Amino acid sequence: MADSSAEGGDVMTTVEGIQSVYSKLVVREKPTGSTFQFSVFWAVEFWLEVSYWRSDFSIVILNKKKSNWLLKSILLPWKYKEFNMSGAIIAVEARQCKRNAPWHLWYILLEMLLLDVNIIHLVVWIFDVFFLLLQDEINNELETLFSRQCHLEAKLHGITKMLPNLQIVHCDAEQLSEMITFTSTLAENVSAKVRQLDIARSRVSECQQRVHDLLDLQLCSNGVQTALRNEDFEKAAAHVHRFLSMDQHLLRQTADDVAEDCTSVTNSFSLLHEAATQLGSVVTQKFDEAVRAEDLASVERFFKIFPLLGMQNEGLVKFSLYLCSKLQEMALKNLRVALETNPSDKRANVIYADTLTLLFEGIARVIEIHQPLIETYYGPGHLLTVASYLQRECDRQSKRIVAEFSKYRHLEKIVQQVSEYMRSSNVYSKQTDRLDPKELDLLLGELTIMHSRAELYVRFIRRRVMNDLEVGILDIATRTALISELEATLSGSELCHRMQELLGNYLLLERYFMEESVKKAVAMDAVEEGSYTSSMVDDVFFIVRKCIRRAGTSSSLDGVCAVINNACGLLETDFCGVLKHQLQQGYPSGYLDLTQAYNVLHTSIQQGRLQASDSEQARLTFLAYLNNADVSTEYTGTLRRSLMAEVPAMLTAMSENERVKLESCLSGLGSVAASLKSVIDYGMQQLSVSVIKPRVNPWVDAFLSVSHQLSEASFSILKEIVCHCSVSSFYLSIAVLKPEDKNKLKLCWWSLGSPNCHFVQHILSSSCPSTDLMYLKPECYSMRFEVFTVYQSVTFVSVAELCEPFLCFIKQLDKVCTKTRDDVLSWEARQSEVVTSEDFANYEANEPFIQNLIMNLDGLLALFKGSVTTSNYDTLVSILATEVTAQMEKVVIKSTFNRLGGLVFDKEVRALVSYLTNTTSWSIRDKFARLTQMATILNLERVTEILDYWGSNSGPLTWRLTPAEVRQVMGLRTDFRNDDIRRLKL
Amino acid sequence: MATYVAVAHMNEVTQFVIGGIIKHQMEDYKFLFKVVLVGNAGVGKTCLVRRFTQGLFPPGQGATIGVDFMIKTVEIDNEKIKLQIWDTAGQERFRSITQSYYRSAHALILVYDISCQPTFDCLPDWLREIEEYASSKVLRVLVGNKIDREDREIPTHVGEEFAQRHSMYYLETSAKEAENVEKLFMEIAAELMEKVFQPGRSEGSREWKILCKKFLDIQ
Repeated sequence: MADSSAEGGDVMTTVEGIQSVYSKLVVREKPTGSTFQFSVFWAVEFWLEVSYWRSDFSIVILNKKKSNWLLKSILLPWKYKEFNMSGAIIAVEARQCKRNAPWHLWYILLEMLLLDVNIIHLVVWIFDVFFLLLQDEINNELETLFSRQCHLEAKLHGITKMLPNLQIVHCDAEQLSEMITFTSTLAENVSAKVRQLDIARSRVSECQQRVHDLLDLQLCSNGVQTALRNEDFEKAAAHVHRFLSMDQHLLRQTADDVAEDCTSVTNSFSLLHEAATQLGSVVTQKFDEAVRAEDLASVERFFKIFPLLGMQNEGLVKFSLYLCSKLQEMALKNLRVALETNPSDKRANVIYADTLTLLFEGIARVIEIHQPLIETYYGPGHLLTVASYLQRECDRQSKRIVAEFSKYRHLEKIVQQVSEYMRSSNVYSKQTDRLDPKELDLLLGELTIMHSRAELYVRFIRRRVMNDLEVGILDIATRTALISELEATLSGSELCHRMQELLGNYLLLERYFMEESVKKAVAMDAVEEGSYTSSMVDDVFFIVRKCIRRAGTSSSLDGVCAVINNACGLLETDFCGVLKHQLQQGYPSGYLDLTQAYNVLHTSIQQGRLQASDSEQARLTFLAYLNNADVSTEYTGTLRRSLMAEVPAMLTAMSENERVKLESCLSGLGSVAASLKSVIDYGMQQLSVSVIKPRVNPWVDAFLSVSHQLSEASFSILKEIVCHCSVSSFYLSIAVLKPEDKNKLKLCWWSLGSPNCHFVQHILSSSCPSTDLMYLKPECYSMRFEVFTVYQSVTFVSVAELCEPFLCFIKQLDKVCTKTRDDVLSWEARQSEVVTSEDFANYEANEPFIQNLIMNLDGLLALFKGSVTTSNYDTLVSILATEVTAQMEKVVIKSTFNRLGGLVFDKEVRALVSYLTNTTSWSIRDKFARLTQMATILNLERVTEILDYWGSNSGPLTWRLTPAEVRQVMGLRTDFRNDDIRRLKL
Repeated sequence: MATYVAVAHMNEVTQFVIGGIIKHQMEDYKFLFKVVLVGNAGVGKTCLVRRFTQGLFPPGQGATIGVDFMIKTVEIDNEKIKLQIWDTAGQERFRSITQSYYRSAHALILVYDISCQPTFDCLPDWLREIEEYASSKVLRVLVGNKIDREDREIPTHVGEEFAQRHSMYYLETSAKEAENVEKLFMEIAAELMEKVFQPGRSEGSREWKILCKKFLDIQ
């Protein structure tokens, strides 16, 4: 296709030539994307070839979008070819460039063309093209303007059409407005008349009212007389009430205007005033009489009359006083009954609380009964007056009851005695006149009941009066004032003060009770068989809980909080002090000397049982107190949680602030837990110093006597031994030795390390497969002697523990010895191939250090396992682990290793770690990190192998050893050259 | 920092005790201090607390019953500090209740009324109470309140001398005019903070002395 166009283009002009090539391309392929770009490029390229031949060239700008690309495609070939620039034609398809013509492109072209002075005339031409472009743009704009002209004209035409319609609308609107104005005037006229009518009507009714009043006045003045004469006080009061509701001044005026004579009206007035006064005094008198006569019906009758006479306050006061007198009477009677109560009576212990309760119940009943009466005849909102009078009476009566209570219960004397004792509690001089806390128990109970009843009563009164005020007093300001008056009455009442005093006394006595009871519990402390703790923990926490619960029954949050605070103080200082004091006595490490142990054993075997020695007792006490602290920590937490749930249930309706208050008081128990924790830490430290350190150190130091410079042969033996963690199988391998090694057996026995009770137990225990013992040769019978010697050096196991299995062992040995020797020999024949005497010699030279250590540690832990709580045991194991690793590190640094020695050491560490991690539920693997890393280093093949574990290669491993320490440990390997180690880059 | 003794897990909040001062980890504050106000009835303890916590001066404040409890969180050196303020009743009959709060207090504010000689005369009694029940490490501050009153009876230097004699900090305040109230509590918080970080220090902080001196100079 291209070839044919090229041949045909010979005779064409350059522009036409390109155009034709391009148009052909466009027709054939859609001018989009890369195809298009390629085809244009191709067209230009092709034509340039042609024009080179014709010694001229052309540039075509095809369209706006592709122009940038096009420029490149044009200029690229242009650069390669050396043109004879005798002439050039640039064709521009200006129409396609239009507004978006890339002007910068033109500038670039211009710049390029300027390079050649020969074509300077082209510049002029290019400027022409610019003008052309501009012109074209202006034309375009004009065109758009013209196109909009007709649209505007159409709109104008539309508006002209609308004009006549507007005129009609205007007319209609004017008409409407006129109509509305007319209507409104009419309406105004009508309403003016209505207003006039209304005024007239109201005047008429006012007039009527006055006439009625005048008529009534006459009626009342007549009626009142008659009623008074007939002693019909209700009727008279109704007349007076009617009269009081009249506007007297206006009436007088009206009478003046109408009859020009107001004498009759004035007469009536004076008459009625007189009657009102008279009636008032009569009713008051009658009321008092009724009160004296205790005529309840009359009291109520006259009580109803007061408000009609406008004497509400007098009525309320009189009635309240009447109620008070009733209350007083009742209270006195109750108190008399209380004082006469037989001390053996069931309620005798709380008789004053009961009397106080009766008083409160009486007041509550009075309010319950009479509130509807007051509300009906006086309206709501008057209860406050009555309640404050009743409160005064309540104060008087409760004071009397409390005074009697104090007198008969010797409260003041007790309080004085207790407070004096507390003040001088540091000086133990007044031990004799100390009160038994138990005696206070009943008194404390009564005090809390009294306080709680008073609290309940005050809440009742407050709620009742509040409700009444809410209904009766609508004005918010007045209501608030009255509510604060109520609060002041209640909180300033004698009753509340008395109760606050009682609560203060209660708290003092409760503190004394708690402190003394705890002292008693501590004094009576005993460690019981089969229990981790001693008796005081349960006792102390029982007392504390009891006291706090009792405080809860007083219904006073402040009381509860104070008791909680006191309890926290008691636990944190006194109780923790007791625990710590015991732990300070230390844990007797008590190494028994051999003869003593022997004697003890002998006597115990003879007597069949063993006596626990003093130091044994001290050890048990120490552990029990350590457990006490641990269990107390748990109890403290439980106490805190349970109180947080219990107390709000006891104190009804606690506010959010009160909850937080309680919570923050309870957080004091958190400090108690912290103190207990420090006591445990102290005890553990004691154990560590007196038991763990002195034993672990020599055990671990034995490492130094073991050579870790092993030959292949000895290594294989040791490997076997170390791998066989079972002591009995190891024992077995010794047991089958040839007769000539018999004398070595003894050595072997000792080489098993400093004999250890656990090891012995392990062999002797009934769980040890009897086959193991069966294969013991008769020669081994002599081992009885050894075992006994072993026993002698057993230092820290109770004799009783050992005695049983020991006797059992002897019995078993006897039994075993009667077995046929042939069995043993046949088994021996099989086994002797494995363990050669040479190997044994090697073994003998290399003690199984780690087995020993593990057995020792196990023996040590077995001492504690059964007698301390789980968490204490875990702590102990963790302390032990720390101590062992620290000591191990020390001895490792003092030793030297070869390759095999390192391997053995690695195995040893593994055995140790796996033993200790299995003994506890806590994760203590972390404690061995340094030791394990040392083993890893000592187990390396080459010095440089460390780099596989170091730095970026360390992976999840975190190095606990510093580079200097790594070098030091490496130095322990005799086969590593110092230069190599020094050269390491860590 | 000082050694933190981890306490067993208690409810949801893990607490750390640093020389008796509780550090809370989970909540939005770092330290919790208990401040207890004591002093005769009517010297303005409640007003001081209300002024500090709510910014109000309630006229005609009734007598406190038992112990009131308020909380305010303040910020010192970008550390959030929760102040638990225990406002005790001054009357004798509440003594049993108020005494129980002394032991766990980190700071005790002993308040008297500068216009009322008897409230000042009672201070030795209060000090005896404090000696008996409070921790020996407690921070003690003497506050002369109501300096807005014209009828001063106790001159500043008398109060200051008393405070010095009993090695207490001293500040004069007015809850009504909000004078020195904020400063009082903020300084206590700052001082307690400092105590946490330097538990062994026996001498009072320099700033306090400077502050007190400045204040006295103005007077």
